[in-house]
Amino acid sequence: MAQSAIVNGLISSLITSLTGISISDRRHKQLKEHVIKGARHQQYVRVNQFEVESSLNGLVEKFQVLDRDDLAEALTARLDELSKIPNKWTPDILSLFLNLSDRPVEKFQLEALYQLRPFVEPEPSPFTWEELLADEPFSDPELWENEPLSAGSSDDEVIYQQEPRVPVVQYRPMPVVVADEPNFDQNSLVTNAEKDLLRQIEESHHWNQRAKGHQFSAEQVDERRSITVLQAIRQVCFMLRTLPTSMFYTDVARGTVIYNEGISLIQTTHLSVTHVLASLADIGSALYRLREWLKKEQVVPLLQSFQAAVSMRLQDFDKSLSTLEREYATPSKTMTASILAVHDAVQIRSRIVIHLEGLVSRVSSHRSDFTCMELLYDDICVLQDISDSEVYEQCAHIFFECLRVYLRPIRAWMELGDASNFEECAFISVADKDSELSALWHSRFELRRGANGDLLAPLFIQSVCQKILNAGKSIVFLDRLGKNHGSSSIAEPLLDFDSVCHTNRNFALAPFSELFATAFADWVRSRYGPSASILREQIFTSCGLWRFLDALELIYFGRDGSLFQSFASEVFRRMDERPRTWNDRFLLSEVARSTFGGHVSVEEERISARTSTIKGAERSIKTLSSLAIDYNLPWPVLNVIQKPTLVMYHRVQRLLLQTRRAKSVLASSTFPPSPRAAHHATTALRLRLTWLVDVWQSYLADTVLRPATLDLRTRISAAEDLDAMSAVHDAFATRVQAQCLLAKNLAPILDALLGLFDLAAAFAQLYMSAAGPVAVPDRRVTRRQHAKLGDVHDSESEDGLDDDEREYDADTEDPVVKGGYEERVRRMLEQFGQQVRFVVAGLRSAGRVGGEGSWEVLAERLEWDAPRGG
Amino acid sequence: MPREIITIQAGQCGNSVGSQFWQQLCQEHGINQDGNLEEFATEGGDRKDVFFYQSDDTRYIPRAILLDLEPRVINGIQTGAYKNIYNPENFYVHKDGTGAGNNWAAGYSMGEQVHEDVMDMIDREADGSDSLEGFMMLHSIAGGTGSGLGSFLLERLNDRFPKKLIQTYSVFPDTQNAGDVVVHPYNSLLAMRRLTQNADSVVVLDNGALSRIAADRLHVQEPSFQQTNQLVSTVMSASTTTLRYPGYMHNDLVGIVASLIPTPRCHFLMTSYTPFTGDNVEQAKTVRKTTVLDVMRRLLQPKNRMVSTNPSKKSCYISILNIIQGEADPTDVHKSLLRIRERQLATFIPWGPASIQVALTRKSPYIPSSHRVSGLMLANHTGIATLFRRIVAQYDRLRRRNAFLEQYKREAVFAEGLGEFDEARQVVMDCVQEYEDAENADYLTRDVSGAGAGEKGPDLVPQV
Repeated sequence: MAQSAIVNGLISSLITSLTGISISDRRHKQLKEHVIKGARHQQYVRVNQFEVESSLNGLVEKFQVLDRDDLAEALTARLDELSKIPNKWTPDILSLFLNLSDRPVEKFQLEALYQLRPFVEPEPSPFTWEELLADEPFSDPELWENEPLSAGSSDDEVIYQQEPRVPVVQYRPMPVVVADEPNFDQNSLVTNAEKDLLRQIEESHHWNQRAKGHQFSAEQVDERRSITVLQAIRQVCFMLRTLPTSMFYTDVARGTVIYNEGISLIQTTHLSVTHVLASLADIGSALYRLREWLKKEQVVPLLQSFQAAVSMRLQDFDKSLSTLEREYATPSKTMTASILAVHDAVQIRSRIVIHLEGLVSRVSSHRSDFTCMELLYDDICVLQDISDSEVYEQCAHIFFECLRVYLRPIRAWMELGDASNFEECAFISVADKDSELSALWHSRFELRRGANGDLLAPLFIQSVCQKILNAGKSIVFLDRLGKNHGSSSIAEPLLDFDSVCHTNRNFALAPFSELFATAFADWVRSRYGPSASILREQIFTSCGLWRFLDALELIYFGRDGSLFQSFASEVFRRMDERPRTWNDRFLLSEVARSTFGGHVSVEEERISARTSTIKGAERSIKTLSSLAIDYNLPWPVLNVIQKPTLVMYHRVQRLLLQTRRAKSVLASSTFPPSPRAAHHATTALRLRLTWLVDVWQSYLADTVLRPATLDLRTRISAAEDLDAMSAVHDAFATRVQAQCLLAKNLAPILDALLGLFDLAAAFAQLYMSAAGPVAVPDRRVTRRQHAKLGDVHDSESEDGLDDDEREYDADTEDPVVKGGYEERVRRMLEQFGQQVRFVVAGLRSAGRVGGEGSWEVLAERLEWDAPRGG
Repeated sequence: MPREIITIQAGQCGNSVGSQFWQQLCQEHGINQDGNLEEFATEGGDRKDVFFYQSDDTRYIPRAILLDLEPRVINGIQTGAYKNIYNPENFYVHKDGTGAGNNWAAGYSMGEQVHEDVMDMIDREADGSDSLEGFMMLHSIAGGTGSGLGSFLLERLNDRFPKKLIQTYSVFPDTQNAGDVVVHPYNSLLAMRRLTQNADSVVVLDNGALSRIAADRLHVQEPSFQQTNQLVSTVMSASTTTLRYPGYMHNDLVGIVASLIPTPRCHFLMTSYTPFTGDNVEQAKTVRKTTVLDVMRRLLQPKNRMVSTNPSKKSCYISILNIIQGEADPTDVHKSLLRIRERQLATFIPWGPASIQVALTRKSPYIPSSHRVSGLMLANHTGIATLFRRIVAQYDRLRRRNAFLEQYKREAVFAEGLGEFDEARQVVMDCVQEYEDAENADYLTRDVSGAGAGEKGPDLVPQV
């Protein structure tokens, strides 16, 4: 049913549109029936799409043939376009078009195509609120009324009240702020000066009236005027703000405020208020001076910050004064005006500023920039002791504010090694800008001291000044090494009142000085720690401190005894072969290099030899003093092992060489003696000399050098920074020097000892001379004997002739031997006894006056001579 | 420049002791059985080049020459665990392989035959060293090869290398119990003469004492040769530690000898070692307290001496060198010396200082040791003269009966008579005399004239 109704509707509208016959017409009905009949008999199959396509293609071809290419192209283009739009009805629609078409070749005009426009919905004309409102006015105008925005303000209220009430709310497109520019008469705001009122006020200040025209002075106290308490309070408040008043006057020269006793209060006796007012005047004086001081311009940042801090406290006071004043000006409740109450209130509120004024006056009398901090610090400690917690806290806050500024250049120094702020950072100075790198640590920078030797730093940080200096030096050092000193990974501890004094409530009673010292030490450590540890690490690793210590021990202390012995033997061989020219410094350098250079820790090219000439000592063991082996250390290491201490190494090496020389000449005389020299005294003397040298050598090795070097290494590896390292090394050098009897005060003992070594050399000489020229029957033994007497260490020359020649020389050169061999040996034996006794006594007495314990050891060893011995 | 030492091992005993010694050195320096460094041997600081040289393939080769007249012991070494470390050219075994038949004279005479070959070896080794310090000879003096060939070599070395030091480790026969060799007094006396005249220092090791110590310490009734050899090699390695592990207190061999030996002939050294424990004997690892004082005190005890002597009341030390290995504190050493002095634990010659030296050296880091410190004493003691007197007494007894002389007379040395025996006796007695002189308080005042016989000793013209 529904279907047929739709179809009926469609058909009738089709008829209407085609024929123009209205539905009411009879014909219409007929036509409709006719159509329905026709439609009912029609077979409605789907259009054959292929047929449609071929007929269209045919149409295109037909157009082309009929010379309507333009038409063909237009149709093809549209067909192509159409094929892209999938629609199942496309063939049907096209078929309809085909059926509708009527002789297109002739009738169609291409221009008509361009007339076609896609359908665009016309924009609706923008309708406005006016139209809307015209259509549908607001029914509830109350809803749209605005609340007056400034209801709280009495001023505006007046204005609003003056504004005529808007009877109908005018709607505005953007309802933002209503009445931002209220429409009122601005002139109404300006009230006309009420001259009457002013006059009334001036009249109420009757005391001023009388005073007008002449200055106050102390002499004019006789003329008393009385005012009310409220008026006095007002005067006091003005005075405290350092405003001119008639009740008080200011003595600019002395910086004091004085109560003008010519004015007194009604209802009170003069005496009873004088005291109170004078006391208030004192407070006013202090404030006056403080304000005067604040006006001064300060150059030093620290003082600027101090001034700022003080000025802030003064502002606070002024504010609280205002509050006080308001209580009297617009009293919220009924209250009694009392000058005494005001005095008390002012006294309480002004405590901190009064205290600061005292401080400021003391600061001004000192010269140092940091005096204010020292004074503050002292005050804080005292205030804490007397439990004045309010002023204590305020002072502490000011202190930390100043400290922050004071530490600014110090922080730059510690973090960047920045030397540019030295002028400000008072306690660090560049001592020697052009100092050698080897003295970079010790001499370039120093703590600045005053004329009397005091450190130019606040007392409370003097204990850590050295660390602060070191921190910057570490940075400079690392920069010089080309190493990155890294950024501090440790967070910088806060230095303010809350974190320093309130971090731990358990320590609420801890003294400020302690709390501050701890916090400040922490702060310094946080800045100093990282750079110091990096530098320490660098010194150990990339600068190779251990390797150079190894080298020094090897070359100077003979840690590898066999290396040292090889070097010594080679030197001695040269001495024996060429007594006058042995100390050629190039050859000796070469000897030292080839001997020590083989060791892993020793860099050959750093070794060099120095020689000098010592006249008249060719035969003495002291001739070895003319030789010094240098080992060049790089500058970072020289900052630990400082140049002056290298002398110790040279002296110890010389001593060791002398000892070995004595040992070597004695060893060379141990071979079968000739009958002439075979003498019990000879045996005894040689035994003793050997014993002495052995005792001395083992003392040096086992009691002095080995423990000392081990100890040095332990201490250096435990040292925190370069200062500690070089201090350890300096102590080591001093100790070794003393233990080796190389200190100045021990020189006589050492001389006696070296005298004994010389005795050994003389004995060996004597012995060889005595043994040499004697004709011995057994040739075999002689050869062996001679060779060994000549030089035990000579391994190159196996030729007996050289040896004989040398012995001959020795004999001719020492004529003293002739005739007195036995006697000489006995004399030597006596001399030995005396010298050893002298050495022992010397060591004992040196040990008694608080010297090295090792001297006792040596003395005890040397005393163990047989009592019956010569 | 190392101060190299060439080791010469002669005879059965010398080679057995020697092979033990090299084994010990290899272990101490971390050298494996092929002569290469062990991987763990990285400590450094030791001087291997004193006793070893490095071949082209960087193996460590001992500077050792192994000599014998019969092949048994050397064959053992050549097939043993450490066969690869030795230079094969340094073995010399007489081609006949007959040995010297416990006859000094046979060994000495064969020396003449093998002389050139052996000296070539020695020369080659000497040329291979930069700065030769001297020779170390290992031998026994009771048998034929070590004694006879050893004596011959001592003489030749003296001629060939007059400037080089010669030290011997000489194993003396057990004078109290009859040993295998009946004629040991003859052999010993003849070798003693060369030891006195041609060596610079002789470390005396007495078979009797060695057996006693081994039995005592290792708790075995009859200690094997291997066990006594271990004692000897321990002593040898300890006495060379100052050379192999040079420290601040370094002495070369010349230095050590010079400290210990004041007169040329008194160069016979006694040794003590403590604590001695066999590695493989569990019960020997007694609980000991090894402080420096204990070690130094024990070293002075006669039962630890490796020489059997019967010191008289006058016997005394001429000099002492204590080599302390391990963690010794110099302060402890000093305290120990004071204690020894206070308690008079050691008597010294009345005319000289109490020459007791202490050398502190390191221990090998590669050999685990249960002892914190161990010590070796090298001492020049006059009591050693009694050992010589015993040998002379035993010689006298045999000689009076003209026993066993035939086999000696057959050799070239005795072709012109038995004068060699008399000379040798004289030399030994002079040496004994010199030791006994040193015991007297009037040593200094009794002068050259009074001690004439003794002084002539070394330069004695052969008297027929």
